Amino acid sequence: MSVDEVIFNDWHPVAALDDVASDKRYRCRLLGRTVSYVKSAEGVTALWEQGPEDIKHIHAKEIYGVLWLSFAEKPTEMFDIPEFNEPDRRVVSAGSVRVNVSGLRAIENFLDMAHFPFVHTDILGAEPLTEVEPYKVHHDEEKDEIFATECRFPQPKGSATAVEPIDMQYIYRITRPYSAILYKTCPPQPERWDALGLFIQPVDEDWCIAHTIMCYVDEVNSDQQLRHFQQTIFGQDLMILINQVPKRLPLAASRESPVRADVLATAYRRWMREKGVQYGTLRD
Amino acid sequence: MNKVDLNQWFPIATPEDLPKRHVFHATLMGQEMAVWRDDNGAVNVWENRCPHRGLRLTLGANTGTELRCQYHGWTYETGTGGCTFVPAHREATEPSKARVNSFPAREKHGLIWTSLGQPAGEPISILDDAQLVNAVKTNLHSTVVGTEIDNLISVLRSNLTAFVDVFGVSDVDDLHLKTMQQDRAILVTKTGAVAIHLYLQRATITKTLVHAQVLTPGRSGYELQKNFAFAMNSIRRLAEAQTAELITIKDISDQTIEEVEAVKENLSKAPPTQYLCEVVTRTQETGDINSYWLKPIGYPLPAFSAGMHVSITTPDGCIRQYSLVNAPDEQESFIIGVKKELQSRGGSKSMHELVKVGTQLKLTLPRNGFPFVPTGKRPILVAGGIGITPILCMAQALSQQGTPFEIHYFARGAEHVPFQDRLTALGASLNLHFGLGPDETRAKLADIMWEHEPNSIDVYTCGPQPMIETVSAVALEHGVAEDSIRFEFFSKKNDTPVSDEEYEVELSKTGHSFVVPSGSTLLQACLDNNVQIEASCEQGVCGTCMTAVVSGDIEHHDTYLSKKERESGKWIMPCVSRCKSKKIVLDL
Repeated sequence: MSVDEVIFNDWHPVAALDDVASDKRYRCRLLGRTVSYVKSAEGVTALWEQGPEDIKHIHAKEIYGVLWLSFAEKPTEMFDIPEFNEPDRRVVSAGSVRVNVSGLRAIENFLDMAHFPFVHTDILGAEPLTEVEPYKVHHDEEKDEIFATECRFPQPKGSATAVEPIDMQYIYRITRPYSAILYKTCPPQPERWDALGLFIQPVDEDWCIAHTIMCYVDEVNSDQQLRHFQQTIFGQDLMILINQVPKRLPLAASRESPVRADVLATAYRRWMREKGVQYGTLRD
Repeated sequence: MNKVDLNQWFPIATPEDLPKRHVFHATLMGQEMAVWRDDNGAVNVWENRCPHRGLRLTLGANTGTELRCQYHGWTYETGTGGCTFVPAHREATEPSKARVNSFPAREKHGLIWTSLGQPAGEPISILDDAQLVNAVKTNLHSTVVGTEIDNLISVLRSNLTAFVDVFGVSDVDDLHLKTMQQDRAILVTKTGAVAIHLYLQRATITKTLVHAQVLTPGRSGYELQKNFAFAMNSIRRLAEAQTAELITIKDISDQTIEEVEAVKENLSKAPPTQYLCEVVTRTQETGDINSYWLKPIGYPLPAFSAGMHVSITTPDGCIRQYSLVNAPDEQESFIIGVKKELQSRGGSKSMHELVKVGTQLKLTLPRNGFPFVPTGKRPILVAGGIGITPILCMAQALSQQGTPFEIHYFARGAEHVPFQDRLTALGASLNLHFGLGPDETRAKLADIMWEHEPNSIDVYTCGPQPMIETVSAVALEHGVAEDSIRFEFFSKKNDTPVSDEEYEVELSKTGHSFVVPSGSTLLQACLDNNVQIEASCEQGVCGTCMTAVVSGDIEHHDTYLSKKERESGKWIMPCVSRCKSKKIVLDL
């Protein structure tokens, strides 16, 4: 099983930091390979375990509430999320969920608004307000990231903090094939944005673990309430993700039929096609 | 294991598996299928995958006329599987070109059948034993067995004792199992009074379904059904125990799903959107109306719904629409009626003069623009002239279902009535009205409608435009809701024009040049001039038709190209964008 360079050289999440207890060896799979890690007072050491005698040290990094590993000697520079440095924000893990689908399908679902009234009924959307208004997509060539701005959707209960239906504003940011962040209206402080990161661990091409990290301005809800809201949403998406066929994301332009609401997803697929990403995709 | 011929009919369900508004999940040789019945009773067998983002359609909702995908709410109509609504763009006239891949479907001999290839003929049941000619045939419950088909057959063969109680015999030697082809069997007593027909369905390489029908002299009772279920249960346990080593789950992420070759082949063999048909019958119905039976070559007739029309490329090259006249059980050929128009621009004239038995015509099946939607109200069907074709189609379907309805046909005289046998077969539901002028027609229509409470009827009409307008007006006056009045005009529909002014196209590699007429997209003009451009969404979203440009002032209407690409002037999406200057040169 070959792994393309873009994916191989990158950082990949393996756990929410909240879930990593000290001095305990954890083992899991990343890109089809067995890895393990231990957190101690000095930091995190990580290993790639190819066999009982064949063990290599690999890089580990703790940032954005998540533990990231990389197989590369010189991993790609980590992307920047300034909101995580703001002192009045709460960084809460919404849990890590294993899903039997390519992580790329999970990212694409995260970027989609058209499913809100049907999958997250009466929470993130409701009929008949199903129209997806035109929004703007651009490719930041310097950072090599994709941004979708001016996205909005009428939501009955758009977040744990929302007390009435609002027109939720969204910004979507795709930083890596397996990582995306959405920024949404922050009801208590409308001039700022709440950030929600979806950092996907590609276990292999057909399995992933979705690590969700909230970086919110919120003084009202408990961690448990925030998690409950997020997990309800994810549970609804889970039913969809495990029932998508094929499991890997088709990249050929003519394979699945987009409409204007899918401009961001089409840009995402095109971006990966042009970068030469193969892992977790179907290339016809 | 012998290679299975995919071009045959395979049973995949029983009619009981398709209750009203249900979506049934079937698997045939690894190919997942979503099987559902519309409110008119027609069965659809579709690939279990929404063409938008691949969600299993078995999670969707059967609305009676459409299947709605649970992911984004897209709806697909019965029969063609064409997309009819995209909630993200409620006002779009052509929401999406997406179509669900479908497989041929038949409901016959008490089973639902489909095929993974191109079957010839119709499904054939296990022939009844001569002694059981007067037997009553009843479906028994289907059984799912977690084993491969050949193993199941050998387990059946060596465990006939399980069926002793079913047949009420004292000894297993009184029972006999006969297998046929590789997937059928008859279980019968030596005396032959009772027989059970078994149809084995290969679901996957580790799962087989057994559909069973019992033939008894009189009605079979609960005892037999119960004993059969017990017997099959013990067969199942025996077969599954014998199946090769138990699957050990070492690490759940190590499990891979078996992939059958049949599945990979099928995803590329979706039924065609265009059919080549051969005329098998040509009948002169009246002085100016002919009927034709068009049999598709190499493919069984696809599923259709009443009111549907087909688009035919007539011998003189233009494309014309004709409504299907088929009754629900007429599943061999497309049956159409063609009226020779006095001012024919060529279409109907060439159909009448040049189309004979043996002629081959190209035909496509667009979305049904005039579907019959059962609402529980009494259908009042009104037709005039050649408009009788879709109306007759609806009437035959209603008649076969046993739904009460009325059909009123307005014609100049008895000699102008086509399809007389079919109309006569409708019996008392048929009302013929001859030689009425406009005012008399209006008065008659009022009489017809005033017989009923306005909210108890649905009115369907097709015919000359003035007649349709009169029918609508009379219905509205009577108080019938606008939604309950449905009609179809037999006139050419126009797509929203993208280009107002025509411009010239030149292909830099061949020098070939042609004009894009006003009202046509660049893509359509290219295809009409035999320029091969692959296209998919035709909305400027997916990027498939992206074409390189040498020169020309481009007006972009797509959402795919980047700002840089647009400004460079080197690319165009011919499906939605156009040229502002007089000429565009494409790098083709």
